[in-house]
Amino acid sequence: MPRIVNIVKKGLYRDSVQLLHISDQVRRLEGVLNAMIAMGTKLNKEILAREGLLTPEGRDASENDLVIALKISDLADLNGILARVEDLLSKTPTQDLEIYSDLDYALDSNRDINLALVSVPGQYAREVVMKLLDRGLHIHLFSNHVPIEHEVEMKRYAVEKGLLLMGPEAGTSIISGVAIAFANQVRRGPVGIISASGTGLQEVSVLLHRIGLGISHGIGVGGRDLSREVEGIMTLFSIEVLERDPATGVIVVISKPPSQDVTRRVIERIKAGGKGYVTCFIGGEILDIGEKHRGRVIQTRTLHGAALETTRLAKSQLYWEARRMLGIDEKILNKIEDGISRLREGQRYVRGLYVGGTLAYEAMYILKEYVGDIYSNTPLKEEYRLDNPWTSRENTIVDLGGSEFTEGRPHPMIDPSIRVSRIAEEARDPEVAVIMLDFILGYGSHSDPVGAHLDALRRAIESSRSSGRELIVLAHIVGTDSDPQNMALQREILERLGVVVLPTNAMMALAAAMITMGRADKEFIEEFEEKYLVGF
Amino acid sequence: MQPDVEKALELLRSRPRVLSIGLEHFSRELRRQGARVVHVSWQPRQRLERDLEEILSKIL
Repeated sequence: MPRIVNIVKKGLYRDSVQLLHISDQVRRLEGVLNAMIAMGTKLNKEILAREGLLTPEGRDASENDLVIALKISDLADLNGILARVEDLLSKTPTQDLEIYSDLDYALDSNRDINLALVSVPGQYAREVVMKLLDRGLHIHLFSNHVPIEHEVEMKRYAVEKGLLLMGPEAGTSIISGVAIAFANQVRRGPVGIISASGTGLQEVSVLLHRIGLGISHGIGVGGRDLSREVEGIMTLFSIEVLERDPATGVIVVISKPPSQDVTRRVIERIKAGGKGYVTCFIGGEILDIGEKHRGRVIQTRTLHGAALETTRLAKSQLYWEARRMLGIDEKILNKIEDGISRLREGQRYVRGLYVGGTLAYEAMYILKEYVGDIYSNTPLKEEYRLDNPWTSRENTIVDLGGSEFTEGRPHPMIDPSIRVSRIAEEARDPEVAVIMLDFILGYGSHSDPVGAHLDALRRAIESSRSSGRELIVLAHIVGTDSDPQNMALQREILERLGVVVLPTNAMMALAAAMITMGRADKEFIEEFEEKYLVGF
Repeated sequence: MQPDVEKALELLRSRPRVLSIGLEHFSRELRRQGARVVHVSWQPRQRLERDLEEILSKIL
């Protein structure tokens, strides 16, 4: 018979990321069937209970206490396991890292290194990057606030040397299955992605994984690569690379709308290529590519559409199943109808609280067709810029990863505290009908993003209800079953709270449109699918 | 002129061996995946101090 053991360490604190690592390691010990080492917060105790890992000792722990919860086989050496847990807890996480304080010395001592991940403050980026390029390293440059003239200079220099410079402001890359910065654990396969958007790359790679396809490589080129100034230097170079990469069969190119000249240049290069291509310049111009390339080159308007058209090119027999899998089914439609029927007079506005910038952009692009112009800190039209990004008005979608919210702070994908308090604020506004939330799983992200919002969401829903209103909360989880966070549990916790979880960000925007228009039917969905999901 | 893509293809053929400079969080996340990672800590304040020292030494 397996045994459940809880040991409470009074007043011992380790942060959630450290504890997540420790739990992972303990789970791999001999005789351990399941384990969770966590602070004794309400949520953690809830999760422990759900996993069948909670005993009366653990239940009595406070949020200042650390709980070691183990499920072990009857033959397991409990003392040995506990000694190992103590050992892991006593180590600071840096102890298992090889750390250098001098860049040159680190490079001289590790000559096998072939990629550098740079996340120093933007004003120092150029100096570090030029040195690394001189040493022949490919680079993923995460830093922001890098002047655009430095970006052009660094990228030109990189291409001259035949090196990839992914970034600046590149949130995501996936190289040979390794997640660089913020990326999900996705299956390997024939689809190569070149993306000027971190969360765009995450959304498309995750949707392809769910469909059953895989990713060869995901190259993040930085949000400004397709601007007039940078002229798509790294996108065009990456196309040359992936055209020659034997692991890549289909290439997806993702960006917010590029400048007109750059769009044309990229499309011209793609037309000269030999592989299958799907472009997704969200809301950007759709060009006439000519009969000769039709079927090999497909242009799409949304990330969801890009995933579907990629499926059509890479494995067409999965297309209709994918369309069904990522669509709004009967169950979700019923929840939306139910929500509409419970809205009170005066509840009419949408509030999107996003951590993914491109997801926010995509939602605005879709929703404006249905609800009109949308206020934002990153608006589609300048006159709809929020005077104060901390306060919403009418229909608002904010990118909480924007510089207003992240200067000197961790990104909200790691630190959800700003969004948590914003949820409460939106819920107090009697004109709000819908809140939209994206939850990003994967490496780099918070270890339990849904858990971090749970109390705030519960309070928001309850307080609206006690004021005689019904707040509808929509969510989309960008994650896979292989991510380090438990995707199924994340979804289940949201659904138990009454949150409507949508399979894609585009579908979340559609659901928000249906709610504000008070119309949820299959005809509406079909019209939407024809407009936003089918490629050209 | 066609750019030389050989070095990039070499990266894509291998599992990346990473030097991460800046946020330790990213190094830990790479380590967690079992990737080869070397971390370089970055201290902007120390650099600033060094720069100031340099400037001061020139002035004084």
